[in-house]
Amino acid sequence: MRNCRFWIFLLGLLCLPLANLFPGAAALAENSVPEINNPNPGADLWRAVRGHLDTPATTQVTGHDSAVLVNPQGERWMSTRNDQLIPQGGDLLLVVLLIIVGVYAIRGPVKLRSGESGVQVQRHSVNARFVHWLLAALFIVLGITGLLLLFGRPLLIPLIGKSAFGVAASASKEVHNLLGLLFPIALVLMFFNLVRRNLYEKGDLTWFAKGGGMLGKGHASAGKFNGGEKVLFWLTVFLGIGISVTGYILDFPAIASWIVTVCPDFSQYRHVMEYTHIVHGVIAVVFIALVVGHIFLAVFFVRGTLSGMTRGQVDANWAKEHHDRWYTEVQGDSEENRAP
Amino acid sequence: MARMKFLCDAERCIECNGCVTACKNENDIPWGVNRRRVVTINDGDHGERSISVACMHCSDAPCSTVCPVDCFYTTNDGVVLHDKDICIGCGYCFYACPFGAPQFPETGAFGSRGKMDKCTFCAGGPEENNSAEEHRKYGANRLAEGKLPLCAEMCSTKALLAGDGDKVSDIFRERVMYRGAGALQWGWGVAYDKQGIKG
Ligand code: HEM
Ligand code: SF4
Ligand code: SF4
Repeated sequence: MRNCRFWIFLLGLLCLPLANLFPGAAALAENSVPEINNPNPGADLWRAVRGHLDTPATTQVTGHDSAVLVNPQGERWMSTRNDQLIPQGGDLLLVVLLIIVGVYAIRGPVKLRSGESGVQVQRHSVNARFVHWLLAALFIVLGITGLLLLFGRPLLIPLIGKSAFGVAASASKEVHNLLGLLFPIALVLMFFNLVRRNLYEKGDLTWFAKGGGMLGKGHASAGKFNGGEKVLFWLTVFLGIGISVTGYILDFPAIASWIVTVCPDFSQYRHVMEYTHIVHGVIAVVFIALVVGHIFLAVFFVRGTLSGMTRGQVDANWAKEHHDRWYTEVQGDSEENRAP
Repeated sequence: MARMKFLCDAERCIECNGCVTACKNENDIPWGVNRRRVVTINDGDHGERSISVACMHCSDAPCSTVCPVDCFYTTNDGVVLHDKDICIGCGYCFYACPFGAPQFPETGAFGSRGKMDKCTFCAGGPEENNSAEEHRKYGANRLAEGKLPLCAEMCSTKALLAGDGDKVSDIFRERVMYRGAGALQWGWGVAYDKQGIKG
């Protein structure tokens, strides 16, 4: 909308010099009947009541949006959260689970074709593992506490009752609001730790064309991280930034009040919070779906992957079969190292 | 059963803020919280109007719909109350409420929200009527004593009416009949343009 107005404005500016070519047009404008300006005071009053602040409204009370009598946008937030975010978010997570169970049932786990070699290859350093698990732990705690707030009322209250759920929800909220503050720190650490190996390399697209080895014949060649893992990395970075920014706004209402003062699109504190809340919730659901997929692939589906993140080492055959280019690279390294 | 209603006659309200003060005093409301407020439109200008607003005790209340812990309940008198033992202070009711009624005392670090507080129609909360516990959490319970909310009782111009919805409408209708147009009766059904809900 605003963009649109900008372009119309620009177009108007560009057309200005043309006006001189049509002197008749100006005369026409002068002769036209002046617009009758007879505002209806009742209509003005009700516009003000609904928070359109071009009609001044004041109050002695100093609170958030106290001078606004009616906030019609509240209903939009209410229906977006209750009729879309909750049911559709729930559906998305269910569908992801069903796909996972289906793939596992049909395809079964991906085992090493040549069995275990017994030879271990170093894959992730202590630092890399620490950062990964820090982010993972925060994500799991934030995800569970967040989902509790989102789905607890329809799912848990019927089971455990309002009082017990009230205690759980209150704890969830405190934990979520506090640990959420650490999430961006872990995200930044993870970014610098892994970004170098997650840039685009030749062969990543071929990896996708082969469906990561699921389609067609032959192995899908990959470096340290395959195309799918790189997509996971970048989605994590961008969803992570989105969820952190919105999370910080929700955590510190003062930021929302500040946004109202600097951004003319928002006239009320509430509106900032409402938009922020929906964006946070939508990102959260998508992010959780993504990470559930990641956990499935790394822990259950592609066998032999998990040890790289726990012990830091993987079997040499796993490296050959799933990350052949990386394997030759580290073999080269260790031979170089070995040769004095 | 009576269906309790507030109605503020914008043709009468003179923005004296007596209702705000009466409410704060009667309910011992904490700092920074105002259950009732008076909003003035076009202050000092042509067509100035003031309206006193607090929780309108909606039927099918939006606050109750969004509360993640489902802590609202509606009394037999149609008063919307909530249970502070269950409330987690998430603020969602404030986003959903068309009238900005839910208030939050700032507790803890960074001005984080405490448990929600709002107008109770002077009807207390889930605790035993007029117990010390009830007064500490929710303020007065005048309804249990057969009295109406103090804000309306003390209104100097009788702009703010509170009580059984039928009686309140009768009084207002009578006024409108005497003085002509300007019916400014409103509730969330009007605010959200919901046909059939006069709440
Ligand atoms: C993995 C990361 C995260 C996930 C999955 C997540 C998920 C959620 C979910 C599902 C909700 C509830 C929405 C509702 O009830 O309607 C929520 C609310 C919230 N989140 Fe997050 N969140 C994450 C990260 C963060 C971060 C990084 C912060 C802060 C820096 C944060 C702060 C908040 C706050 C303040 C709320 C509102 C809770 C309330 O007011 O009760 N979240 N989050
Ligand atoms: S006015 Fe607001 S707080 Fe009161 S019942 Fe309606 S939605 Fe709930
Ligand atoms: S602040 Fe309390 S009453 Fe309001 S929605 Fe949250 S839990 Fe419910």
